[in-house]
Amino acid sequence: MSSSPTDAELVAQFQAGSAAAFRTLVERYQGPVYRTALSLLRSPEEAEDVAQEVFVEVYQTIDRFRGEAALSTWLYRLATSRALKQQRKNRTKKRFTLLTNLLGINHEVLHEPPDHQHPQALLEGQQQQQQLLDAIARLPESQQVAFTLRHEQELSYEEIAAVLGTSVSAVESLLFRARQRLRQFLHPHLV
Amino acid sequence: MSALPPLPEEDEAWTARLRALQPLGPPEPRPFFFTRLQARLDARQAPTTMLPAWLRRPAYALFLGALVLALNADTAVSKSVSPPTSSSSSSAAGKW
Repeated sequence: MSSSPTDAELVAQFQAGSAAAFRTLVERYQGPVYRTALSLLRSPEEAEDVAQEVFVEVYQTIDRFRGEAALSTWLYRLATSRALKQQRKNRTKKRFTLLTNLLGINHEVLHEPPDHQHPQALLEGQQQQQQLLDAIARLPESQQVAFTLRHEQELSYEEIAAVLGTSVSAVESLLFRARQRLRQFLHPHLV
Repeated sequence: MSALPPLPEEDEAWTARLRALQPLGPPEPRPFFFTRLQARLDARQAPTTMLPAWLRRPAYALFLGALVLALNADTAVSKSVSPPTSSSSSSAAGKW
């Protein structure tokens, strides 16, 4: 019975030119990378695109990976930074569309950009859950990343600190502030 | 609109609350993710083998085109301005 290779072994095999190692690596991490992007973007299409781009970057830059951080840390880092970049792009696009429509430059009919709802929330039709997801989306970027990595991806504080390139105490502080803001968003009269 | 239930205070309680958003289990990418990734990688790699990277930049390509035209024009002008005379060429040939 052959045991599955460790991440370090996979990376070494892939760096030596093994296509099979790359495939195993993708199959091992496609779920976590996709879910990380989905929790920040809440659009399955955009999450898929981000996940694909993460693995394209891995393929193109694997030679530069020296193993100073864990493979999973590197992948989470790539996924969060790319998802945040996409989020910023979406916000800019939304603002630009709104502005051009307000100024009458764009004569197209004003369409609200699709508000991609979390698929599970849609399925359940639970308004409260959607409110929670909307509140998470309104958090500042660093708090949003820390919160989703902790409570959706269920990473440890140490793992989150490695992904964000910060200390555990800084992660604790980010999470404290994130939870506080969520309480403000969801129950403003209680705070 | 119904009132929200009390919000959790503890770390684990927040995780449980978010886990409850996924009653069907964690979301997964669509099937054949790797096949689509492979197609994307192939599409990215195809053009790079045809031309060197510097030549794929429009500014470099335009500069190269302009340089070729300028050199051609210069050669044409210099030939038309001073055509070689038969006497000078024969005398030069005679020297050697």
